Amino acid sequence: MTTTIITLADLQQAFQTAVLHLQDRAPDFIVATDQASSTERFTVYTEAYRLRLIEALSADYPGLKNLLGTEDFDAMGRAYIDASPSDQFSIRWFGRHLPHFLAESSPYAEQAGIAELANFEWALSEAFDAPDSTVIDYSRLAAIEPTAWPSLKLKLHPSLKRVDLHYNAPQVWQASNQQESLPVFAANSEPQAWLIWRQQLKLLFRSLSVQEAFAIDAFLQGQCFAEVCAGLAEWLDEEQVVTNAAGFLQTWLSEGWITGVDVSEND
Amino acid sequence: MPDVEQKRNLGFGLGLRTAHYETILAEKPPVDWFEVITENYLVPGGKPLYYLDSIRVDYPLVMHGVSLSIGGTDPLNLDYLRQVKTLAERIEPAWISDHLCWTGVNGINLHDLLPLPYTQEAVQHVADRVKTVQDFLRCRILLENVSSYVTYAHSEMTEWEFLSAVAERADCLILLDINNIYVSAHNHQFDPLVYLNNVPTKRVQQFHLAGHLNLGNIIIDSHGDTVIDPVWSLYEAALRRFGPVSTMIERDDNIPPFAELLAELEMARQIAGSLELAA
Repeated sequence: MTTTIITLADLQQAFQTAVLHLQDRAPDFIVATDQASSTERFTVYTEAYRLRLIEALSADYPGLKNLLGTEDFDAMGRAYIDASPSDQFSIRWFGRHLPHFLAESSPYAEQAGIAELANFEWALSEAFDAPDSTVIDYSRLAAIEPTAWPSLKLKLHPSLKRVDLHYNAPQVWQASNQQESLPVFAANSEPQAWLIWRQQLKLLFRSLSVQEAFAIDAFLQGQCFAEVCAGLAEWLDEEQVVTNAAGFLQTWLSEGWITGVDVSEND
Repeated sequence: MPDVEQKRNLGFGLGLRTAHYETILAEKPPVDWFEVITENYLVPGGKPLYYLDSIRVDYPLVMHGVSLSIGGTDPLNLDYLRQVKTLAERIEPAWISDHLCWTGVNGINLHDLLPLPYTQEAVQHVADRVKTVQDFLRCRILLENVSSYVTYAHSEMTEWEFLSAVAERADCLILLDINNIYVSAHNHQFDPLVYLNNVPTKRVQQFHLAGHLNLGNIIIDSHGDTVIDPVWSLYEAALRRFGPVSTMIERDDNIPPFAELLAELEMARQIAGSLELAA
């Protein structure tokens, strides 16, 4: 037998190509033993690659796995793995493109709502290990001069994730998480705003009214209290606007969403 | 860097796994140290770093990475190395290790510990990169022998010759995985004692022990079961050759209650205790 000399770089290219494209024959630089053929030996790598990544997806998308069932989740995972090889040093981020993949790729794009469930679960995973931050209490708001209130901007906890969902993804996730039978996965008549966040170490989520969703989105975009109030005036009478906005702030303080305030005396 | 003869023996440790966080904090079990998977803590915040910091208060830690790709032919990932260095500054590990392998090319990560060909070209390539990493991290790193399932036609030396050559040329340390030697000895039909007896004693800083999955013609390094008797025997032979070396048990799958791992670790203590080892 003649041995072909192959450079390290060429070996790695050929090895990786064979793993990614599930070649049915091992690259010819791999040796057989009398115990196992070269293809049997190489298959350990092609199969381990897929199993490891499917395991990572299962950890990030337990509700989706429960909804689809193990077999369909596995097939979906293999399709995603082929479409979106990992380009991150940590497997933690491998699943981040799955919501987009499900929304854009057949046959998943035709399976109503599953991309939304994936989007919700990925937002949970992002909130889980988002940066830590210290929240403020009511005294910080109380100390703001009345004239400075219109300029008030909020610093919000880095774990806050906003999603708008047509489907009952949070209920499906919750039932799955509590190992209960899943509710029928169905669309609501109107899209529902949700906010996901971490309170110290605890992962939480709740639905928002249209007005509250508008207000938190506006603050997240860096708008000031006066701008938020002007926006709320689309729904509310003038006298209700400030009361409602102040009510939101109190709720958000108690829920640990606000980490700082920024006021400008010049505004 | 200090002389390699100045070994630091941490005693008997376990891999830190999320399922055991609360037990460890509540019970402060008699484990000498924990090994953490570096990448699991390269995250912005939340539970992983909270538990890491809390456990660090009571235990020495070592950092064990899986993504260095020291044998890869892509450039070293400096963003990754910066994050490793930042984590090391945070938890002050006793040392930092990774694997003698490659994990992907062209910016793709296969998230596996892939075997290198045992060639002079690969020795030089890896040694050069280890030097760069050690200069960057400002410490000597440990490289671990991986389990492998294939061998390459153009390899020019044995695995133990390759491991030893890299360690000597790069002036790095070795994390000797006893189970991986057993697994690869079966898969590639060599005598595991020959492997042990040809690794330079002064460079071995840590041992790994683990269980595996025997499929008959191939053994898979699954880390999903208890350490088997032949691996304990190999561990005893390793202790006789290398002296007292920091030892830990790796379990990554079918993770049992903490008490079961403690009992398994006790087995390692008993074996080491039964030998009269020169420090």
